[in-house]
Amino acid sequence: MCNKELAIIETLQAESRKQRAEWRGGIVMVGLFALLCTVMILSLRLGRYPVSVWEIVKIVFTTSPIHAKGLYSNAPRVVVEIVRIPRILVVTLCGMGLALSGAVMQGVFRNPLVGPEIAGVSAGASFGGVLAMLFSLPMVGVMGLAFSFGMLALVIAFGLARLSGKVSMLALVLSGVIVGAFFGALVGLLETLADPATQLPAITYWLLGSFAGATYQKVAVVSGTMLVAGTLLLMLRWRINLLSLGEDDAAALGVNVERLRWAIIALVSLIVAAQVSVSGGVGWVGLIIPHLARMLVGPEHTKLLPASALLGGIYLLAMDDIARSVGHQEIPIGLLTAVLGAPIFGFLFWKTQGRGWNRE
Amino acid sequence: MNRNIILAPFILLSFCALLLAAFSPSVVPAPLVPPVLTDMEGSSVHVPLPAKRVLIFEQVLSVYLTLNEGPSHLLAVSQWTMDDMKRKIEGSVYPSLVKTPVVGVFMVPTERDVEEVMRLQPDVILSWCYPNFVDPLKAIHMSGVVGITYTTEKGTDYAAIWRLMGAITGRSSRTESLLERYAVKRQEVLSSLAARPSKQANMALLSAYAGEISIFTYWPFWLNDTLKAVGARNDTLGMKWGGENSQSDPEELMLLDPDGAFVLCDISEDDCLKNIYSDLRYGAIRAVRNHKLYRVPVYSFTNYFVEEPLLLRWCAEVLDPDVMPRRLREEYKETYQEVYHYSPSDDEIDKAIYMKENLQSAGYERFMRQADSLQDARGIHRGIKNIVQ
Repeated sequence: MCNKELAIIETLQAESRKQRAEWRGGIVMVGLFALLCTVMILSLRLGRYPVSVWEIVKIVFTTSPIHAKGLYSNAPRVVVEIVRIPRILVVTLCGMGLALSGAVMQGVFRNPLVGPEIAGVSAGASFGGVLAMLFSLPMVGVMGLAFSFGMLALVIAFGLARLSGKVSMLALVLSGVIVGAFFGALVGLLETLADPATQLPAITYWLLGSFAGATYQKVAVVSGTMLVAGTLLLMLRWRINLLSLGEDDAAALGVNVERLRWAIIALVSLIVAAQVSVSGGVGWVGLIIPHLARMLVGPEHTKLLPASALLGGIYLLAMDDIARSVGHQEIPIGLLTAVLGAPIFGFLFWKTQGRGWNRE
Repeated sequence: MNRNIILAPFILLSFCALLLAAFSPSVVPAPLVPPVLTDMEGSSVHVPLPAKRVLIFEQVLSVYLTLNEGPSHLLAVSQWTMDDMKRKIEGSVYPSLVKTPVVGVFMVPTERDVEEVMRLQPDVILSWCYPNFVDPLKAIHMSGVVGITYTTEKGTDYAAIWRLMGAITGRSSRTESLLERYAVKRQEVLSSLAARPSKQANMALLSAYAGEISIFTYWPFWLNDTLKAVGARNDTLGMKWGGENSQSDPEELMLLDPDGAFVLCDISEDDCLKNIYSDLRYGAIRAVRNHKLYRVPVYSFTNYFVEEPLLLRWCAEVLDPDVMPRRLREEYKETYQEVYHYSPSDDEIDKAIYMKENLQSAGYERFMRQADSLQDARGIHRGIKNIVQ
């Protein structure tokens, strides 16, 4: 066989491998989406009030909730439509958002230990939420202040990073640490000022993270943010691929590195602020899910980002199901994700250290 | 294949969620039909009176038991409330209470408990009326949610709580007679105190947990009023440092140097006073030096009209042992007999007044049952002497 024929065979083989990889990626994506839908349906079954599967199906499909305004005297309908559906939607969207943000940040920073909270947004949002609770504001106020202070933390972190002249990743990470520590200290200060009988327990539970009390208002906040910020991040997945090659390579390929990086961090912060405002601090999802997704679909961001999002939704929903169904008392989900997240992260470390953490 | 098809699940889910949120189902409250009750928040609540299916998240279980004379019609209580009650004498008065189902862990119904509450279908749900506490129930316009609060614009209005509970249990006349009994019993203590010297005792109201002292300036408002009634003053009220319940500074306490201190500890702690007495940091404080720390008896502050006269007598006997006749044990027995038709044993009274632990403190032996008999013996001896003379 001559060299020309060999080259043709190699090209065909490469093409076939690429197609197989694409098919595999597609199948994984469909599988994850199907799994997410299954977990969502199963979650609808979980709860103290007994509602049969048939009844749930009837409630969800036979009467559209959109036209269901009116007197709610039917307890199963209240349980499914007012109590369970908003919670499942908020949890799923938050899980998707956090995992997506984590995968994006790990790509942008080219560091597998980076999470979406790096710019100090979580701490800022926590401060806003605690401040609102100290002034006994209603839940809308808690969400509003948490979101606003999350964004304020981002602006301060950006401002601090800019003080060093040319903005580098290191400057942003350091300013994120400073802002995070500052707002963390303010949260501690507010906790000492809170009424120990009424406000302090509420603040402590909120900071531990919980999706209890999910409403359609919260669904609107999270879904609106995800629709805008999440979609934009997903559309930028090709450029994130370029960023993950390194600043110089990306710039050589025509990417305005600085502007793109700021845009991405701003979008991620928007998602994190929305999540904290509705559920308090939920850690680890943005850190470990991208690693799991990388094991499934590889490091290429066009597949990694959607896979992370779907996997994040599945993971957080499963965690929330455990949190609300194990034991007498609901376990704060932030604790559960940390307790289970640390061993999972350790397992991933053990599984992947032979190949180095940065397979990309 | 369009490469952006991969975004479809994500966008679809977010969009559907947004659509659902925009056109979210809303619950319209059912129109109120009589009988309508006004709760302590001022909200109108439809409750079939007397209520036959009662669910209690609040600390009003003891009031309910007192007025209802037992746990009948009690559908469920929160775990916290139940645990609290089991440790009190009322737990022995109504042994069937332990069979009452438990819903929720704390006195606050969480979202998880909402489904359980709906399953139980109570007529009335007694809950603390702070927004975060009743929000999950009010979000679904759960009927029968009665908000309770202790602090009204006028101050602490226990009578309002009792009258509300009287209406719910259908025992309004019993409520009124217990309120009258309270006034008489309270007056009895205050009349005995009339002969005391006018000097006011400077006391500190402290709380202790695991050997660490905290000060209370707000929470035990009920005890501040009781202290005032027996002519003592809670010195910690004037302290400028700390919040409403903050860890104390031993130096600040030394500066304050109270004559004595009433200490509130968690009901499960056994060595509350011992820990403070043996702590060198507090050794220089007069109250500690003179062994005048007294652990406050087990007390349900919502059960005010039954238990406050007992607490008042306890405080008065501790502060003015020479003036006050020694009859706390009898008072406990009489009160429980009259109100609950139950005779508490001496062991139960010892437990309620923390006899074993408080014996380390000055003068507490007057509450001992042995001392009672000794006193009786002395009384008989004096009587015989008088007869002889």
